[in-house]
Amino acid sequence: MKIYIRSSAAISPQKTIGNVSFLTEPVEYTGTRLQAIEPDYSAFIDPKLIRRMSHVIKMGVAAAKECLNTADIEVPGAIITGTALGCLEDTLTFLTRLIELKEELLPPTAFIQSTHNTVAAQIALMLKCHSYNNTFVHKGISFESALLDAIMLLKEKEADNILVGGTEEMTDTSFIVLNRLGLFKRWPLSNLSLFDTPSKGTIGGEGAAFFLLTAKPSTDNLAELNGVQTFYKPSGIPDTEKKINAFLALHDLKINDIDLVIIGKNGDLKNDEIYNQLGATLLNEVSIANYKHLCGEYPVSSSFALWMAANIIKREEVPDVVREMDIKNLKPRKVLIYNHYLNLYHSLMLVSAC
Amino acid sequence: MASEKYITSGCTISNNTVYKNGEIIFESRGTDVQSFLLSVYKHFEINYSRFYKMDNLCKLGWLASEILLKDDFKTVNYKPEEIGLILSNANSSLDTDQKYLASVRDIPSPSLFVYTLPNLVTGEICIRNNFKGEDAFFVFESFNAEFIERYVSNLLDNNNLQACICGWVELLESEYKAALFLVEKVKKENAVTFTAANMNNLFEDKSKSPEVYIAGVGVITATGNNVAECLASFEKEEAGIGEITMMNTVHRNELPVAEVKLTNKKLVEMTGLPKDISRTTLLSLVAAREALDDAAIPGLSSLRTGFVSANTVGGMDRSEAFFIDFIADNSKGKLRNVFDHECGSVTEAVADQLGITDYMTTISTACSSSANAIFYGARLIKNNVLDVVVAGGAEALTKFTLNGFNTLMILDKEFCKPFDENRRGLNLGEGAGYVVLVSEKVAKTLNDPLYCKLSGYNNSNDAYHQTASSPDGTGSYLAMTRALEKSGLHPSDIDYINLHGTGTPNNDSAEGTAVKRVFDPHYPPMSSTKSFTGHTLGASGGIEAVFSVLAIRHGIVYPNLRFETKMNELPFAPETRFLKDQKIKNVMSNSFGFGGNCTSLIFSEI
Repeated sequence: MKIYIRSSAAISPQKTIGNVSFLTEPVEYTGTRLQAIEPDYSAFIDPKLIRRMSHVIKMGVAAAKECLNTADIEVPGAIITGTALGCLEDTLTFLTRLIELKEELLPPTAFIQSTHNTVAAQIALMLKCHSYNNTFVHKGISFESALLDAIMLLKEKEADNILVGGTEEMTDTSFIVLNRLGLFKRWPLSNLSLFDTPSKGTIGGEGAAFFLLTAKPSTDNLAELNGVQTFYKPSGIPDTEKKINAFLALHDLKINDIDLVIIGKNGDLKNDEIYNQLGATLLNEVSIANYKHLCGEYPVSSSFALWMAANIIKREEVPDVVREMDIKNLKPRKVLIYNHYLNLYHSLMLVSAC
Repeated sequence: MASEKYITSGCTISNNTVYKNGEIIFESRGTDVQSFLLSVYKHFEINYSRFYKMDNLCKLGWLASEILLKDDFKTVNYKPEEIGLILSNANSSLDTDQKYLASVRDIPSPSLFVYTLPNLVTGEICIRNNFKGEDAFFVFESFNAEFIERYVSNLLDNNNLQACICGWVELLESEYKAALFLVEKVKKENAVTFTAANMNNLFEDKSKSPEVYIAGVGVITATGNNVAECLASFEKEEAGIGEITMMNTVHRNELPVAEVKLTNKKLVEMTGLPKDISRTTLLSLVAAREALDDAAIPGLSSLRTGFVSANTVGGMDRSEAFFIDFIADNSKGKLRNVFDHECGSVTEAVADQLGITDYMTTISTACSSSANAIFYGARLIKNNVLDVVVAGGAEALTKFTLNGFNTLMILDKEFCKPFDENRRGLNLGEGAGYVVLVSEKVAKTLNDPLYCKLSGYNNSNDAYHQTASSPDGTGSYLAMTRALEKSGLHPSDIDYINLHGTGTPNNDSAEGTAVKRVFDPHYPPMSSTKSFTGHTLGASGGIEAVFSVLAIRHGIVYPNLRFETKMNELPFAPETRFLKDQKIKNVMSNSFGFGGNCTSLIFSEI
């Protein structure tokens, strides 16, 4: 069974939502925190509701709505989201008040909206969608888990027009904590030159990207989603290469059949070492693109990469800003996304022209 | 008199493909209807010269009946008058009508004219097989499985017929579809219950989904640290609810909770995990390990094994400690305490201990989380991604959730009374529950008997309010009915319902209304085991799945403690006694949560 990406929408630190050109005017940041550029939410959400929604809920609901609008689908057959940290802002608000007010006279709103499934639930509520609704919260493969669920639902013929997305927000508090954990670079730099001077740490990001998956062929479809696979703690580079080759073999492909590989380099020495080693071996002859300098590092950043891949294929253009080097095929038909999260979770997604 | 009725054979022909009992038995590529039907005729080596005279609609229906009845149907078992035919389609005989009309312009074709009635299909099948029972042909816009079920059931229940071929035969120009079902009163191998849902499944060409079995269970709750202790508490009718002893909160002595009776220190000793790890991780490992040991799967390391776990607030108990210092000074707070804040960290730490590396993920859909984890695990097996999945969930008591539910004013200051007219709210609990799911292939290699199978499941959304349930229980009604559909069972097949039954006015009213809509007037015994364990949030679906599985294994119904007064709005009351030696074949387990997430699971005896 073939599975197609019918439509896609992303809210990110770049100009990605609405009628905008495809990453031709990259937004430059000079700090280590990239914040999503928020659209006028009233175009997507009832203004009465916007006020009560946290940042991640607004991003998620708006990206979902835009994705459905583009596909001209009113109510999807299922709603599935992936998020590692969920509704952080509401969680931290409630936690802070709980400590500050010594557990007395707490307002409930932040608690109510703190559950990880809030974004998926709010979309269902807005659309009166009674269908399958699920949320995956597994670190760097939260989005991939959601995607696998959607693919299985389509294969089981349980549903069509499945809305699947990845959402993550960075809050002031989480930025401070992650900074203390040593995730980010210690001095400011331009995100557009993130890969120029390798050093320790990356830049933080956030965003929401949604996709409408269908089993129905149509000339309007953006791309075909051939498959997704994750693997945990590979024993080393040879093992990773073996797993990538095995994934490609499932689809009767070899690495040189791939027109473009989108990789998850994030500017951190240790993180990028894996991509560099693969670049010298398995990936040494394929064209490479980067994406994390545009959206920052966050657990579901691969959803931004998938949005990018689907657009590259449909628009038949590879934006200058994502090219690692000269691109052999300017109209790629087969795109592989390879990302890893702390070298623990590795993920592969294969997308091709319909 | 209602009798047991089974679909003993099913045949679908559509899209150049012939399916029998959900499996593809013939495919041909890129031919027109006429030549496709001829290729089917030739493939199955049928010799019946009348075939060549038939119009396309008759050919289609007749071929489907031949394939339906071949192999094991013996007409000698019935009198000709006892076998009937009830067929239907959308466009009657329009295909031939149009051809006949076209022929009228030249010379009207008598051979076409005789086929300008849809019931010629039933005629051709009866002539071939000498069937003389009642036959009829109905016209519907689309396949109406509910009507066919009612009509045919009536004929069989009143003994007008003993066997009936029923279904759909549609053909118009290049579009065609036949789906025939043989319904008999005797159960044969591979037979499924005669229900609209099972007909629809066969109609949709959903290939038969492989079974997923439960091979092991593990649980830890306030009533016991393992399966045996929890079962003993049920029999003694001893709840695990009491005063807060471990959490440092202002609500001590005020709000009762259901604590697991082991300190973190003791749990660390038992599990060998580091001492500063989240209590949720500790509880998770205890129950998951018990489940995996219980399953005792030979050669586990050579199988594709996964861990699908659920929780709602991850390592929040540790984060609370971190934030006390952090809020006072952002450069303070032990980072180790916040490192495992993510829900996924709990799953990862336990998977590492269990040695599971092939696949792991975490689900968080509030209080239905671990029910969703269980059926997602089953689907990973059905989709041939994995062979074995440990699935369920864990949750430790935290100040975060205790205060959260307290602000919503749904915590009972006394012990909770689920489904009682005078219920006032829930008691929070903690624990973990896991089942070990195995594929058909793995099931055959086990030395110990399997517990049961997961026969039905559904996740539906109430889409009514972020926290409150709709008054008519839309989400829970949909979850229960769709899970029944999935399992191919009738409501009357359910022998016990493990209710979500939190004890809040809103949940029990909505769930009760939905139960009434599904089961009225025949209610199976039901109870909320949260009257023992408290509401364990992200763990509740896993814990209650374990209890449901054990109900089948041991033939027991759990009591609903402290129940006194039936709810005015409901015609039924929960079971209040511990019942042993019951015949429990099918158990439904409900789990509903914030965000309208409603999930029902059905476990069935093998």
